[in-house]
Amino acid sequence: MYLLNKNQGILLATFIMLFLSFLAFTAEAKREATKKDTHPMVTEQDKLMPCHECHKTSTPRVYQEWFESVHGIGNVKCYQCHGTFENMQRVPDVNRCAVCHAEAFGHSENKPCWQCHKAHRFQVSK
Amino acid sequence: MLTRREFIKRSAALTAASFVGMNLPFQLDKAFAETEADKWVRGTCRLCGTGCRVDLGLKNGKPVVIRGVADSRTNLGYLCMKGMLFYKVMGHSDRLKRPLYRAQKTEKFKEISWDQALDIAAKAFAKAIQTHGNDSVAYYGSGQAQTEETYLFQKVFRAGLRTNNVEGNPRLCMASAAAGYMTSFGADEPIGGYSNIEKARCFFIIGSNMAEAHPVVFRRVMRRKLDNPKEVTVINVDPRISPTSRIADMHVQFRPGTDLALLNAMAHVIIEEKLYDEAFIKDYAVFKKQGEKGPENVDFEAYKAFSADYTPEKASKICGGNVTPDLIRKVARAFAQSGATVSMWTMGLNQRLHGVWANNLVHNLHILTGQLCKPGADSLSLTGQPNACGGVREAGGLCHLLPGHRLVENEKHRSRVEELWGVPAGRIPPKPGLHTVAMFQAVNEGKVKAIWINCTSPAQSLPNMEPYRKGMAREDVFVMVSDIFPTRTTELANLILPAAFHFEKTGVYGCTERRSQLTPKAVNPPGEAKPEVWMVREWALRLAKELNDPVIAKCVEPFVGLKEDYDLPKAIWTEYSQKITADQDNDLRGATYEVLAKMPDGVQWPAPTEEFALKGGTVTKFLRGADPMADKEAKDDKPYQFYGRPDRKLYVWLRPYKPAAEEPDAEYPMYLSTGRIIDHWHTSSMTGRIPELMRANPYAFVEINPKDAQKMGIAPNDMVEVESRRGKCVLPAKVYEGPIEGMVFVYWHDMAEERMINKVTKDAFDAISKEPEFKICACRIRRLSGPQALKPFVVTM
Repeated sequence: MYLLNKNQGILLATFIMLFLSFLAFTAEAKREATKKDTHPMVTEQDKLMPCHECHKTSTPRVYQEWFESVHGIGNVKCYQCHGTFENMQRVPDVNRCAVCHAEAFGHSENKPCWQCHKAHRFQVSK
Repeated sequence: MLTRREFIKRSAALTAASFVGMNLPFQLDKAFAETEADKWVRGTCRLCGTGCRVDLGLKNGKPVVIRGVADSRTNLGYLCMKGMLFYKVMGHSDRLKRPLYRAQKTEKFKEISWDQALDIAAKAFAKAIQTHGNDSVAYYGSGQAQTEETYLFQKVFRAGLRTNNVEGNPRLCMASAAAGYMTSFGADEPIGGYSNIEKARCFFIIGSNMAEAHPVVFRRVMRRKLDNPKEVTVINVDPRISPTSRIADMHVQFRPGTDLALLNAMAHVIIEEKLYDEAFIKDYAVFKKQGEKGPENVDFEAYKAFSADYTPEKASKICGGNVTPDLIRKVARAFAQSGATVSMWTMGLNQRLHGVWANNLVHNLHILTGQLCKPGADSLSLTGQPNACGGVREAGGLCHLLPGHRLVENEKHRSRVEELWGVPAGRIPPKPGLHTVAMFQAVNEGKVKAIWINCTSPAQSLPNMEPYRKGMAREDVFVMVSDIFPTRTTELANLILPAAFHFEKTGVYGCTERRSQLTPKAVNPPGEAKPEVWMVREWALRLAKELNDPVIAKCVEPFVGLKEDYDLPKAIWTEYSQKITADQDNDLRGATYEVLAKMPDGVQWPAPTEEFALKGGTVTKFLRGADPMADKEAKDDKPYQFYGRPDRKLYVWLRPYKPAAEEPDAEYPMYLSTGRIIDHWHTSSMTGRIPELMRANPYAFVEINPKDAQKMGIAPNDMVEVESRRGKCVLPAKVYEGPIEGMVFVYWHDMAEERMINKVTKDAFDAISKEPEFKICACRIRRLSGPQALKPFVVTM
């Protein structure tokens, strides 16, 4: 049986710890990613309610901002930016903004739209 | 997870009845794939009449995304949810892919070849004509068919089959607007267009929930109002408070149908307070009343005497709701004194027993105040469907119309069209055909023996639909349907022809503002689906043989052998635009396929030359210097030349208030009105298959005023029966301050058997336009139970 000397043991232990940390980080990252784009579990029947009906109470500030915004008045609904349950994005891909705002793309480089136009308020600037 | 109680509580303001164990009517697995496009193809939105321009994004030849076109003067880049998602219709697993046939309607469909299908279709129509005469066959089309399609259908039916039984679903939505323009201005379709929105200082929105039915036009009105909150006044006139009301300074809520009194009372105020434009009236207006033998001239004094009867005090009593004499005066002043008022309306005025009168009364206000042809001023009918104007009103898609804004009953018009088509004189019958309700009544009676229904579902969309469903189910009536999906109408068909969808074929749509726009083929249709123009051509050639009539073949002769992807529709458009519209008011000679392909947003007619069309065409009709026809037809040096009539006059009509065909009574004490919701389109055969849209509004509900709900013990989400003398539906209740007290409202998209509201509506129609009164009938409601299990539904094969 091949035995490790002390230094080799420390090195191996460090490597294992780093590897486990990496795995843990990856798992967390995956969980984050999952959380990011997955709606909390609701029943199929709940899924047939307009998003804003629940979000009136679950995220009242977001709802109120949206309702008072040009998107709210103009009937631009939650799913148009965030998708529905199967393709939901908590933070929408900026390409979804491009459906209506393609001409505005490129006027600020490397910044998502909502960095200046606050999400759910959609004013010209924050 | 929400508890059931929380769920019910949260959905109290809207509706969503609880259910368990449901199967969604759409597949979720592949429906959401989104990816970056590697190619973009420019065309027009498939849905409403706004005419939004879109770029369809393709990845490896498959549609993956839609974006609005910022350069387009219709939508300025914006889209609604239907516009951004309709690409999901293409490639849907429910698409009809092969012709289907059954000899008896009780049998199951069998797949057959196109050769077999066209032979069966030709023999069925030939047999009907040989046995029962030319008027035993009919075409029922759509404001969603492309212009090339409607034009070719009506050409073959009128000149080939010698029947004017050519109708379409625009009879159900725009006929009153068309007749309103004809009777008031002498020419169909709006004088101005959307460009007035950004110049308007007053919006008079009546009978239109444009926030949901025309969201992208509404966005422009909203933007105008939000940017100029003090300078711009928005007036919303509707028995129902709707999302459109959110931007309104004044909401006028009245008893359904009484807007005729309201509009006359506004005219009363305008006269009483001398808010009219005397010079404009003197130069351009005459006054008319309907006499026993036809229209009669009267003078301004007679009109003043007529409107004197409609005092705000009297009108407010007729109108009910929140209508006070003071509110009428405020509205009339805002309308007259803005100097730039745009009126907008849709089905609230059109789908009425006196729909043409309602249109006339809005036009009256514009004529009296001289608010036409000026920046920011227009009497703008919003069109429901994407090609009701371009295809049906302009290209001869109704029983009384010939292409190029001509009339069947006008001998010169018939002769001219026959000459242009190269068919023998007298080939087009002089009598208009059957309008929609009469056509389906003739089906009920077995007088129409063979009917081709294209791109529409009358089995769901006709008012008082049940008798008409029974008629279409008759075994002695051959029903042929061309469509992309199974519908309530394909359920009654003998023969189903699978059609190519938008962007799967090439063609032109003409939207609300006289604007024609080209959509080219971008993807192949699924299976063996074909463009309708190909179907008509091949069918006509077979019919010519069956009936031994070379004139039928002559109708399609210029198009024989052309490829259906592009060359065939182009040749049809070329014949129509270059020959048929030449020197007509909808002159489209400049709008060639080549020009249309270059324009980001098409061309507004009149556009007699390519040079003019390349500048966009005519923004304001009748305006000298802007409309080439106005310059050409000018009879004097006045700035406006209303060339629709030889006398160059606009007509102010004396139209009294008359009640609806069926007013509430002791037995049926409530009004029923129907309409649209933003996430769906028409009979939901398309939007019901797009998961995001179906999920957003999975089933119809009945909107009930809280006071009525309280009286009847109805709580939100309770199951409620809505019943009229014709039929009943069972729907969940949405209790909110929307409809006026005494009125309920149901949207008509849902195709579930128990929720199709056209079982309840009435098929009374306007005497002039023949458009049915979907918007008003009497009903009663009663609570059946608490919330029940419901299931979203679309028809499948």
